[in-house]
Amino acid sequence: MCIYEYELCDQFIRNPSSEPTRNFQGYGMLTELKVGSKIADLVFFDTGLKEIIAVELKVNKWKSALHQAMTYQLWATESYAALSRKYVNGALKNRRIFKKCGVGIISIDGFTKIEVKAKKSSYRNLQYLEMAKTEINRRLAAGDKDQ
Amino acid sequence: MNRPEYYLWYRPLDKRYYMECKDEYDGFAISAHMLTHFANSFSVFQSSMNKPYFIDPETAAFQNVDISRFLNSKGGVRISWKKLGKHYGSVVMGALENRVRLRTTDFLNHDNSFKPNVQELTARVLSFQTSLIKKTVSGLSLFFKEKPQEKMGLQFVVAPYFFFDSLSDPWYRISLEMARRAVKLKGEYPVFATLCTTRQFLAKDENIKTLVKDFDFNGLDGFLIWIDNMKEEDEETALFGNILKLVKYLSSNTRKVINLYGGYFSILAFFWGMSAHVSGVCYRDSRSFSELPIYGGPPGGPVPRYYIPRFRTKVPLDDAIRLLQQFPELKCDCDICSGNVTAYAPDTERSFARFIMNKHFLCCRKREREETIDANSNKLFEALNGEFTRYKKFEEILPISHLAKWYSAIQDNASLYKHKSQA
Repeated sequence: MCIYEYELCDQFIRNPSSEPTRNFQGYGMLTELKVGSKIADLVFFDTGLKEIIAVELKVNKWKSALHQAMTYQLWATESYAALSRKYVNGALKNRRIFKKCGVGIISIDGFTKIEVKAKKSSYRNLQYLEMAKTEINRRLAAGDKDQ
Repeated sequence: MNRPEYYLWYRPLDKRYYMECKDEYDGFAISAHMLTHFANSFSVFQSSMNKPYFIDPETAAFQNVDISRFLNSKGGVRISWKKLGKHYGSVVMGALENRVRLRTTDFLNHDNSFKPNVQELTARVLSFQTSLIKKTVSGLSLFFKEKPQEKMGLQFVVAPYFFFDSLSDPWYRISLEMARRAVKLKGEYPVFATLCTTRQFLAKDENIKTLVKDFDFNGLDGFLIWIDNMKEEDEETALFGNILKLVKYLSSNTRKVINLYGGYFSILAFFWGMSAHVSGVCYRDSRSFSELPIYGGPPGGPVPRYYIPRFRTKVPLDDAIRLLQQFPELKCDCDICSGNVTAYAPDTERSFARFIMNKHFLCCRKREREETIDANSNKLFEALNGEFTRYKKFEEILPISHLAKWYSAIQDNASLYKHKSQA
């Protein structure tokens, strides 16, 4: 059965029992947040924007998800690559690389699980962080709050 | 020639780089339809820059590109293509007017003999290249401070060419015949043939040998190579080896070989006989046949990319900033980078960031070409392997796999290296 990215997104957001949803309870959430030239699929954040968690969703392309998630480390506190459980094994086999880069892995299906916890980003860049905060505040002010 | 030459695809939007980085490239390549559109401005500009140039006749565009791409929003043929069609004569104009692509039957009779169109198109394509600028220059002579040189820097003329994917492809015969006839019509300029083919064609040794033999006729002075959609960073080792073989054999009679869309691998191929390569300023180092040549690219220009000299490749700015944070040793020490660190910030105006990154690219390319001398060859080859080995454990996140492939192809074809005794 063909799986689409938007279906993954839906499974991720709508399942209240999923591990990330429980972890980020009380956090605000936005989809498709553009910072720099990249668009993060999902972003969770606390009220003071001290914690910003970015998630890149991909059905099966773990390398591509990793690359994107790495770029989000310029502004996010933690950054995850989220893949369909059906295809997450490729990423898990390479968890060494994810750990080296500090990017976490999430698998998505009926029960969404954090397979590898992300490290706090040590690559944050003040200018990117400001851009991310400005964009989040702009979207919130426009009433664009998903949660 | 003691180092590889570098030509830039002419694009009016890039004039700023052409003028500010005058010493960092050797000349221009300009597409025929762009020349018809910008003949006056290119003549004046080229004259002031005093750089050599050549014209890509783009005959393959009429064979491959979806015909609707030649049309404007009202359904008429775009002006630049219409102008070019008029220069190229009835066969091309007829195709444009009937909204069809060129077919082999436009050039071949049922008995496989050649139609008069072959001669007409060849003559017209050559005449277009030699006369358009001359006519323009004489028309603009009042505006030149000094009398422009007669040749105006045109290096050579290019025979009409078409894409072929096998030796039995009729387009192969047509291209070959047009190259032969171009040589017979040769005037004051050297004549080049264009080999426009696929990676699959080059995969067979027999194809390379036959092609080299077929095109080895007196009077032909050089070759332009265009391999469909070949991205030097993404290809397999075997293709690089085949390219080195092709270049070696084609250049064996001191003929020049120029890659129309290339990057650093084309610079290294100098040691096998590649005399030059062409690209845009940090873009257009590969191109598909079915892609229509464009004036300005996407709105705002191509995505700005930062060239990482140690990896001989370019990456989007955000990725570059992230990678340089984790691997600070990748920071470039060129004149542009060391003086403009703040320019590579995300909030820098995009056009300025692009400007600085493109200047950095040209600066790096100049340095790369200057390093490419025979005495350095082993050092350059080993540097590929050295960088790959050093960062191998980060292979999945760093753009380095091409370095190992290039190195491997170079090792496999070391016996063909033109200066083997010095290697």
